[in-house]
Amino acid sequence: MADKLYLVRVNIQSFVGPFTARELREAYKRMDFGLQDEVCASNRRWVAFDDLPRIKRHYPELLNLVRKEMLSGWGVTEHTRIINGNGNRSHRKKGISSSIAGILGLGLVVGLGWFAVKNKEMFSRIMDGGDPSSSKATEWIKQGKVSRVRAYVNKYQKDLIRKKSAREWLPVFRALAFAQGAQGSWPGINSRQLRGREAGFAPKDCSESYWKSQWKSSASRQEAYLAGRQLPGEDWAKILLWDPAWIKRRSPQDGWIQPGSYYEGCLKMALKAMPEEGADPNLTNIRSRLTFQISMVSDKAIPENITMSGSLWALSCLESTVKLEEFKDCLDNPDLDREWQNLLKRRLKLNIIRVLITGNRLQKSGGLTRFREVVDSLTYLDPATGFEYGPEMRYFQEILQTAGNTARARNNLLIRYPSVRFSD
Amino acid sequence: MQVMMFGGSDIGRVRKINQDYFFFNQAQGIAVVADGIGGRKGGEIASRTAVEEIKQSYLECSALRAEEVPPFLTSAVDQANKAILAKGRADARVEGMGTTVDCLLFVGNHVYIAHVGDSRTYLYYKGNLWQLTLDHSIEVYVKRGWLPAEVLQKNSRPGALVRAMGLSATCETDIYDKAIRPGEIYLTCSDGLTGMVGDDKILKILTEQEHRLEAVPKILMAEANRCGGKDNITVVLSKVVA
Repeated sequence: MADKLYLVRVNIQSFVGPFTARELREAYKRMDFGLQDEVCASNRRWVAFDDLPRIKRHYPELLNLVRKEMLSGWGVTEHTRIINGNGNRSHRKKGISSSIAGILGLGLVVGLGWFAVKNKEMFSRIMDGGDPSSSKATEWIKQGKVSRVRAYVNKYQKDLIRKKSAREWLPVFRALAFAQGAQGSWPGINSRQLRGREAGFAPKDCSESYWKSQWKSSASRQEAYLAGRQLPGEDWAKILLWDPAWIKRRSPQDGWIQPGSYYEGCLKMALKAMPEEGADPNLTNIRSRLTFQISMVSDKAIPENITMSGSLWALSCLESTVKLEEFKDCLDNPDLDREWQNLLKRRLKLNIIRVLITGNRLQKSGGLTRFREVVDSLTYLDPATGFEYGPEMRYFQEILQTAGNTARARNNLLIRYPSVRFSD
Repeated sequence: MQVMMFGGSDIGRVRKINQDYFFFNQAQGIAVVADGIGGRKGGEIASRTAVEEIKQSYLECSALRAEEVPPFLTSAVDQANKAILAKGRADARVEGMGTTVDCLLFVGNHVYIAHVGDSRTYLYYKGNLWQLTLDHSIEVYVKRGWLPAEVLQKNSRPGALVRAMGLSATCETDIYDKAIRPGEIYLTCSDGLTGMVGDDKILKILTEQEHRLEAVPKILMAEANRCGGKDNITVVLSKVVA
């Protein structure tokens, strides 16, 4: 009898495994794959981890892993550090069902006394104003007390990046790495961990220094790009094509607090790394595009002082237009080369769909027919960015199947794609 | 790591010509299987062109670094696609010919798979079998929500391909990669095998015959013929050894 092994398909493009159930759990802890990736046992069906009903039906033995570790995120379990007499730390993982009273009561009183006597370092940590759990740190970050968290993390960096607690603290490290004034990296956390599996289409390194080198090396080609005569495949060119609506639908991503995803962090770092504008209109154009994308992703009003022209203007125009009849104005540029035109055609379709949905036009005469025509001509992969629109395509199909009832379509997809936020 | 390869092709019991074509070279770590689209004239030319072009691109290029393999595969398939279209334009009798292709490249400790159409690549390991490639057929696209269900009603031909080489100027290629480990066996085949023999039976044969892999292509082809042999059958096995 063969061992039951699992293979995982990551981003529909690479495979990790085969794993035993135990190895699968370890691989998840190593971040070899994420919630939206798919698992398959021998001669069985591929099922996305975030598709709970199908996981339950086809892989009930993995339900615990998905529910307790993957879906619960990092805040549900907690680690307690116990320092023995020799100063060596051991880590124990406890479920949330552990007795809080026990910890707060007997554990706290006895533990504090014991720590105070046995270990001055820990005692002083508690006296600092509380030894924050990762969930407490998250709360502080959400309250804007980033410097408080940074101070704590800096002080106990070595402890926190130890193997077991690193995963629990990863969202905090990410928030600090991309916070205001930070450089898009965090000591002890490599760029792959920082990015995570869910952001497979983004550059592995999104630090300020990486983007500085990108802007520097691309300076001589920016003009042709902005004029729509070239569409290079490098990261500086790709990031400006990122679809803010796609990022926003996936934000906050599992394991992220602020920014809501690695993509958003990359956009912020790319903007931060831009050279001083001076009188260079190309830089003004690029800076404006990044500002536009960040505003769209974070659902903030687009600043009035942004100035774009050429290819990036066309793209941003498509993404912000709210009337079907105005799309033609966005594409009124005969100088764009074929690659740019193809890219804009695809984006036009996506944005026509957006306007049809948000403008409540599906129920109007011909609305659903138009919607169907556009959906039928759309492919699920955006070749320019690598963004996969699988959940969106499913949503559009649901809308068609529910005769334009977007609320029902969204509801039907809640369990299938819990981490993608479809909205009107 | 080294790779041992075995393969073969059979016309089947119904078709008059074999429109499948394949090539493998275990020293170079390359295996290519193409299945000319049945019902279209020139399927055998399309499959041969696809395999020869990809093979030529690979043998002509200097050593590839890992990060260079996916772009290489994309461009090799694209070039082969253009060659098929050019042949079609040059000879009206075979205009519109098309083919599927699955190409495996073993580079360093990774395997890279370029995939277009409904030929398949499976992974066999310790009595387990997984289909690695996603068929580019209407049924699969509808199932995954990438096409509306109505397309199936409009298209009465089962297994109709959404993607294949030779059908348009641009050919979108799926590129997969996986770190390899000793003992893994990659089975690449045309749908003449998978259309006749179920995955359970393929797994059973592989499990029983793992120790004499050189005989497996023939056994699988014989099984496909026993089940009807309605299409050409091609099988290539690549076993990773330490």
